[in-house]
Amino acid sequence: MWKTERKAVRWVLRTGRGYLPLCLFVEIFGLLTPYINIYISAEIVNEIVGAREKERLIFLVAAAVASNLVIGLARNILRHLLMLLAVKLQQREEMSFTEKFMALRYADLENPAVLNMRRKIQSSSFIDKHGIYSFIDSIVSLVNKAANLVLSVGLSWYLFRTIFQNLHYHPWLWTTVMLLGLIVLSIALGNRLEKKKGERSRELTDSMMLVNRISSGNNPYNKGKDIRLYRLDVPIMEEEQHRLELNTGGYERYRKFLFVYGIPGSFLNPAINACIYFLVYLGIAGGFFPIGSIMKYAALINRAINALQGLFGTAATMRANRPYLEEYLSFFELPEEASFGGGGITETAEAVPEGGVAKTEEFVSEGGALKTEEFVSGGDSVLAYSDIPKAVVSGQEDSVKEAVFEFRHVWFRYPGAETYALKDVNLCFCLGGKVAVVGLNGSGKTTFIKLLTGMYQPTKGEILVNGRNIQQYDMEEYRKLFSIVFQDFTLFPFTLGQNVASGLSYDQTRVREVLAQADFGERLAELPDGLETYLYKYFDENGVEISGGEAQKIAIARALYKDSPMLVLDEPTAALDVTAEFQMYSLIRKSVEDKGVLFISHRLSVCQIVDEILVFENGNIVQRGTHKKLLETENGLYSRMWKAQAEVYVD
Amino acid sequence: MIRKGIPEKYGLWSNLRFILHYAWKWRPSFLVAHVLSVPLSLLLSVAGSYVTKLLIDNMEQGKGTDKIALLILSYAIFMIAMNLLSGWLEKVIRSSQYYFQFRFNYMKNNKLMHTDYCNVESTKGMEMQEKAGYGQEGEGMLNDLSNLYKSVLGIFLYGGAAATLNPAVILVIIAATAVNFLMVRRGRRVSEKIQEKDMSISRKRLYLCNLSYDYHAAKDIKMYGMRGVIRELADRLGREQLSCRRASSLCWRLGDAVEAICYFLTQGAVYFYLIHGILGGRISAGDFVFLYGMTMGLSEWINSIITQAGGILQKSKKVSYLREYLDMEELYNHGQGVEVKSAEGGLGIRLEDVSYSYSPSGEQTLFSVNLHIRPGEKVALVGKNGAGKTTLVKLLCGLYFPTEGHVFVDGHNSASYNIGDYYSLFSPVFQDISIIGITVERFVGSWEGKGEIDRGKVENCLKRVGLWQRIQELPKGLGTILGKGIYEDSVEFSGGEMQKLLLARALYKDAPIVVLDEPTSALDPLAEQELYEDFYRLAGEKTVIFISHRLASTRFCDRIIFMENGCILEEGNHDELMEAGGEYARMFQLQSTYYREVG
Repeated sequence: MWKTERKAVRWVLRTGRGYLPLCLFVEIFGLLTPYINIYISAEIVNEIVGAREKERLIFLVAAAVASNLVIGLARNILRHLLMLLAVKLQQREEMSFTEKFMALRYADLENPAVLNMRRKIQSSSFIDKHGIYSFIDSIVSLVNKAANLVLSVGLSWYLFRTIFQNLHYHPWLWTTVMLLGLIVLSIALGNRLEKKKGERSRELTDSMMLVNRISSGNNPYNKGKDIRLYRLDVPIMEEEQHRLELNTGGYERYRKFLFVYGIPGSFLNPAINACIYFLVYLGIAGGFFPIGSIMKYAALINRAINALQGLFGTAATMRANRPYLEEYLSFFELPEEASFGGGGITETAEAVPEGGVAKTEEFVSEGGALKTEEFVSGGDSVLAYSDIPKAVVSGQEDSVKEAVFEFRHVWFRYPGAETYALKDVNLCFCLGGKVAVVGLNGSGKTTFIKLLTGMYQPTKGEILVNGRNIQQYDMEEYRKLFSIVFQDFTLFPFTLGQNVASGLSYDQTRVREVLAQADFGERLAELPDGLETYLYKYFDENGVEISGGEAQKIAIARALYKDSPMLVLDEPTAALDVTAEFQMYSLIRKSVEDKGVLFISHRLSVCQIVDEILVFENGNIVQRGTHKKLLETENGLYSRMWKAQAEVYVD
Repeated sequence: MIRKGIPEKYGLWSNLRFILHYAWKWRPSFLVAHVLSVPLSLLLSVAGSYVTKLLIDNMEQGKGTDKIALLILSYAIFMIAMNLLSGWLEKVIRSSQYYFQFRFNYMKNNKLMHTDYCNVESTKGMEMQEKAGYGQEGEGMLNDLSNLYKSVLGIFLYGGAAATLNPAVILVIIAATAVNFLMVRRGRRVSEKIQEKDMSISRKRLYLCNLSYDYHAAKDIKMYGMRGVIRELADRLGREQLSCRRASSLCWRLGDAVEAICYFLTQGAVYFYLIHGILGGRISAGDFVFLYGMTMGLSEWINSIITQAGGILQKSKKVSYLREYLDMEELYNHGQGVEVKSAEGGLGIRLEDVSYSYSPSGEQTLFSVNLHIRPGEKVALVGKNGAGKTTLVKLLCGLYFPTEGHVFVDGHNSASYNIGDYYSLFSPVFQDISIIGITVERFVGSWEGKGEIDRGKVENCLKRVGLWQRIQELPKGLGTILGKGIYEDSVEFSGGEMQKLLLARALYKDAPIVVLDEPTSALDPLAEQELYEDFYRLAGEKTVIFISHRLASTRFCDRIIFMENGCILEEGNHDELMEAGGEYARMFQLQSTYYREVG
């Protein structure tokens, strides 16, 4: 019971620091004004109806006006402090999402279940908030209502006592009974309404979410060409129309529902009010209280009833919010990529010989419904980058070849797919060589790279480095082995220099050097702010738009700057012009001669400059060898591909 | 462009008419409900104070229980009626609000779909588009207007009741309101300035947050250890944001403090005046309660008029943005144009002194290009990255409008066609791939409407590009929705497959001019060869313009045009150009190097 809520409170206290306590304080402090006003204005009326004593009247008025001023000013300061804390809370909340996403395993980021979870959590509907912010609101509202109840009942204690003592007075008894009945009824109805409201708005939010998600996927910004030349405007506007109808129609139905369900309240509230007035009037008529009390008691009882209704209402809101809250909190328990801290990697490895693996298993089991695949934890200790042979890291030519990668019966199937993308791949290669990976579209080349770099875990089988499963390495450390240019690489809207160096500060000379190597030198000279030029316009209005070919060159420069023992290039020349492509080849031959290179390409010319070629077909390696050797098999896939492409060039 | 200092094209009244026009057209009940709700809510607010006064007066005069009970009962019945009526009015008003917002947004998006492409891509166009997005808030003008109307009525009503007051008290009220108004105006001005900066910071922070779950970017974030960079940048932006918020909060809090003081003065003046009256015996206890309520209410109405007026002006500006966008000038012909004949073969194209630059002040991308393409000719455009090939092709397709010079297709100036008809002349395949969440069938057949797509033709086109097998293997076949992460069973194709899909779509459209911008960069050698052979065969009589870095695939074109720095440098067929030994020959040699070293 309340386990989720307890967890949520801890989360809010941890993330918001002082926010919640201050918020509660401000809430209670804010109650001072209405109660002081209720109390004093009643006193004033009583004084007017009664003795009309000048000094006392002036004192009362001065007290009312002055207290309003002082409290008003004090609240102002509190609100300022509260706002600052709220901004910080929001920022930390956003950051905790960002951090979590970046720590997730790559395969989970692609998982529709995880994507949906994110959308559900982050979509704030215009109907009502839900999740953690609704929870905070509910807590604040609970405290506010409780304080209101205590204050209003406390201040009208005299009234309650009088009523209780004089219940034998019949009209009074009947009015009281009727009032109590109406209150119970209104609370019951309010509860029902709140529950229905929760269901309705959840339904509405879900359907809207789906349709908004589709439309946001249809963001027409970069689709302008297709919209015009292929009339994509028709399906997009259809979707937009559908969205309009669904959103507004759904909202209209929701409003109608609110009105219909509000009808009993429209009757009940005036009836309750009438009872209160009559009850207080009876007291006044019976001589129990002065005339001025009619305002005071009516206001106080009204507040008490509101507070009571509010307490129940908030409790209902909290119940309705619980599934959202659970989902919200469970997001932070999704399994993360194996990582064992930054600095003290070696120590971790030594100090926790088995604990590390146990820890990863814990992540997986806590993930609950969303766990994807179990870690294949064959080994017995956590390995760090530093456990990869020193020679590999330093990159000395004679010893580089000591690192041996091995794919052992590796099968891989994309989540949700029926067929395997890789089927029983067995492969052993050393770090130092230059290898070309070729094959038809969809033969598994890119998947192979993603497995090698630890983006995916094999469905079956294992990948070993020097005989140890790569999942025993700290992934961040393991990935230092590779400088990679993915087929669908991403550049960031930061400065050119920051992009190349993947850091906020960088070595200017080196950045210029690698950019020149990647044939970007000429363009660099044209850029207004040189290395400080922003790419794209997200972060700087004066940022430059770059073409596909230019982007590819920057991505290559980034890989060169990282300077890892192995350079992996997935179709890096697809968008490059002839000169840049040629330069790329020279680069592979010369400037990275002390490094291992893995080159995926459909341009087979590269095969002449590598030591070895892997030919993929249908998820497996069907041929392996040097260019000359592979050409010897005349009807082999490689020969056919080579002929198709090279013939034209050889006159 | 929205320029500061120059009066906006659309005035307040014109904008009001605009909003009222659409409100009346879309939801007349909304306007009626607004008009009704005003007197109703006024009546409600006065009734509360008045009934309290009656009660106190009656009790003071020692009236009987039956009389009081009747009063209370009739008030309750009145309230029930009012509650029902105002609940219903609220339902009508609130449920239309989102409708208006969505409709205005729809208008904007519709414009975005159909305006000239250069208006979409240019910085100016994007800025206008973004601002036009605020236009949907213009709907709030009606709300403000009805509140303004309420405040004015309120002043008369309350003012009448409070008319017995000493003019000095009224003066205090007005003075306090004026001071308050000045503070609010100052606050708004300062905070508007801060808000602009705040918004840009928030946008950047949002970008970073979104980056963290973009699975395309995730690979590079992980491989290049970008976590630290993103964290650090977000922290920096967070600190900037906090200081923005602090400044704007201080400004508003100062305003609130002044407001509290003004309230203090008003309340004090009203109280002391009324007490003076009571002690003088001019005012009864019931009157005291009623008059107090009316006077304090009066000061609120005056305050509210100022707020509403400010709100209306602000929203009017937003409506201006929307209208400016909707009325944006077009370069191409969106009305009646030259008739498009259905030609079986290709069409001729003539470029006369065509120059182009992306922005008026920017660098020129094309320099007076002259080019004549015969109907049915196969032309290749080659050259380095950034030579202007893609720009030329976009210009031809009617996406850009020449800064200077003219484009003629089939003998007619491109500007003389209706732009929609003009688009129908081209089957392009562009470099960049854009996916929307529709089915494969719809995507390939998108040139035709939903019900008109010929399934057999779609199948045939997919077969021709070698993608039919793959589509057939999908559980939902042609009904599969493109793009990952939208539906559980939607599919994201690889780069090579996507290119095949784009080719299939171009085949389906079957227009007289085929434009291929690097259509095979992601295809494997066998698929590439097949496609070329197929395409030359299929293109038949059509005019083909072809951009590629793979010089082997362009060498069989009737004519090769070598571009450099926005100009045509060399022209001729492969053999002629090789003989000439110019830039093209050099490039071809370079690319052949690693194919030739064999044997």
